[in-house]
Amino acid sequence: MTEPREKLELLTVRDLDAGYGDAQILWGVSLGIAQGEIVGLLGGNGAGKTTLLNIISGLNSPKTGSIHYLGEEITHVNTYNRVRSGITQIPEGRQLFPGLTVRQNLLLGSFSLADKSRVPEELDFVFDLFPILSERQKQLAGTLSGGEQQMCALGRGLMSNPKLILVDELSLGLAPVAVERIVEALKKVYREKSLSILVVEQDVHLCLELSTTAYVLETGHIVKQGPSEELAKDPQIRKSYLGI
Amino acid sequence: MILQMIINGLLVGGLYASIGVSFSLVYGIMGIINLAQGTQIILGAYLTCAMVQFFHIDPFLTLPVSGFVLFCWGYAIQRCIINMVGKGGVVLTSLLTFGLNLVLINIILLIWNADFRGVNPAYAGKNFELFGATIPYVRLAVFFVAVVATVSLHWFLGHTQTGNAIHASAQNKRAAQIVGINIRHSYALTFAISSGLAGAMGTLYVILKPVSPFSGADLLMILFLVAVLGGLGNIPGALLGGVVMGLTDSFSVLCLGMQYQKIVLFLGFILVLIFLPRGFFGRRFYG
Ligand SMILES: Nc1ncnc2c1ncn2[C@@H]1O[C@H](COP(=O)(O)OP(=O)(O)OP(=O)(O)O)[C@@H](O)[C@H]1O
Ligand SMILES: [Mg+2]
Repeated sequence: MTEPREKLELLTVRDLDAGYGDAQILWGVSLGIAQGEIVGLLGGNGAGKTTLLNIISGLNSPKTGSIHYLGEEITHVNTYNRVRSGITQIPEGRQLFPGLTVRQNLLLGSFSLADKSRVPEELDFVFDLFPILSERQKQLAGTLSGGEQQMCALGRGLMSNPKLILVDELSLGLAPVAVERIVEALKKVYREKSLSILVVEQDVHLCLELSTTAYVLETGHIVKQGPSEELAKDPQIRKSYLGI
Repeated sequence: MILQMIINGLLVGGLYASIGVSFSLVYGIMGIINLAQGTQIILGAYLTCAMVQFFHIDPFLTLPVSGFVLFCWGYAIQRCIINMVGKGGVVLTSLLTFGLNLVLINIILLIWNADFRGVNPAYAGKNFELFGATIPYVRLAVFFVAVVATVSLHWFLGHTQTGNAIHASAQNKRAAQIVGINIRHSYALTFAISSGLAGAMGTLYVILKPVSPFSGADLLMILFLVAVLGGLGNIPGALLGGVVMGLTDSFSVLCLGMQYQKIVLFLGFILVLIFLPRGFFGRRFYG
């Protein structure tokens, strides 16, 4: 097979081993994200998806292996410097600041922006994306509904004008309508901003529909990778993840 | 007479409130009980005495210096020492701040000996009458400065990006990192602000009362009480706690005499812990 054209790599993860204490969770994981690409990461509960995202964002550190971003090694760079260079995580379980208002949460999202004059523009973009957040600006984030919280979390992540967003279980615990709304928003963001997305999703349909390339993580090993369309037809994946 | 007591209590209450806030802040944001806080205030007091003695300046003018020196000290020890055992929980950090307290006391002893020191500005005795009560200008000024300091701190924490980052680091450490906050800096800054406020309040304290290297223990009792009364970590609560403490103070001195002041404080502490363990307002989102 020939590659259609040379893809510009944004993020390259190579041979990651990682875990907590003595328990090894990731085994030689490698993965690449090209500029402007949406990559899906599939896997059952406890496969190590969140762990991998945390390592990419710098919250956890790997035992061995390397991470390159825009051609530079960032394996040992602090989280806040990674955020500054454009990597933003939309964490599992929203992880808002419950005692701060929606507006304060969003503004903290742009904490790492060097050019603060961009903040109003970013804020407008988020309010345009989720008008409800504009109405709820003064409400404490901890009192938002689940769907609103997820919008706030996504909005907060976008406030840093990222180049790469790591989206962890966007659909978790949300009603189908809410999921649809947020997915539409994510697609819109992708269309209007030049960014790349790594999507972790339990909803395999959704994950494969959103992404162009996908990886399957099973108990810490990448067991399959390829174009999402092909993976959607893969009998084994259909059997174990789609239940068909 | 009653009016005089109330006024005395209110005036000193402003200072107590500020002291309580400085203590409460670190507990609220980082869950650290800073047992050295009383002595940090005393260090600020000694710095003021030294500057007044050497430069013959007005003690109030030394406040920014005491505040700044203690700010830097606070930043350094949090970032270099306390941070290292931060994960060890409240017992370990308390032991550590207890040790720091001893170190600070000995530093003060080394430099200044064990004598009581005070400042006595020329205007110390001046006062005016209000509805038959006497109000010393100095006490009024101390009250005013302390309240301004506390209110500005509250404003800073609630209305600036740095203040929000401090709250954020307390409310969700991981999320704070995710938005790009350097949480080590954030914690060190919180500690520094608390120590800086303590240093500044040391200046005010010594304007009212001479201090010895061991006066930190009395102050620690007061700030515990103020902070607990206000609900640990709650700044507006601490303001109220300070005033209540000031009033208790002045009433006990007046009704029972100076020698019972500490006993009343201690009894008050026990009563508060039994009946109002969460303070007037309980704990809000400060940690
Ligand atoms: N902080 C931690 N300490 C110890 N073990 C952990 C920690 N976080 C995760 N683990 C373990 O690591 C494994 C992988 O967890 P991870 O959260 O990465 O899975 P996941 O693929 O995101 O699962 P899910 O789909 O349920 O979110 C699990 O077995 C989990 O128990
Ligand atoms: Mg997960």
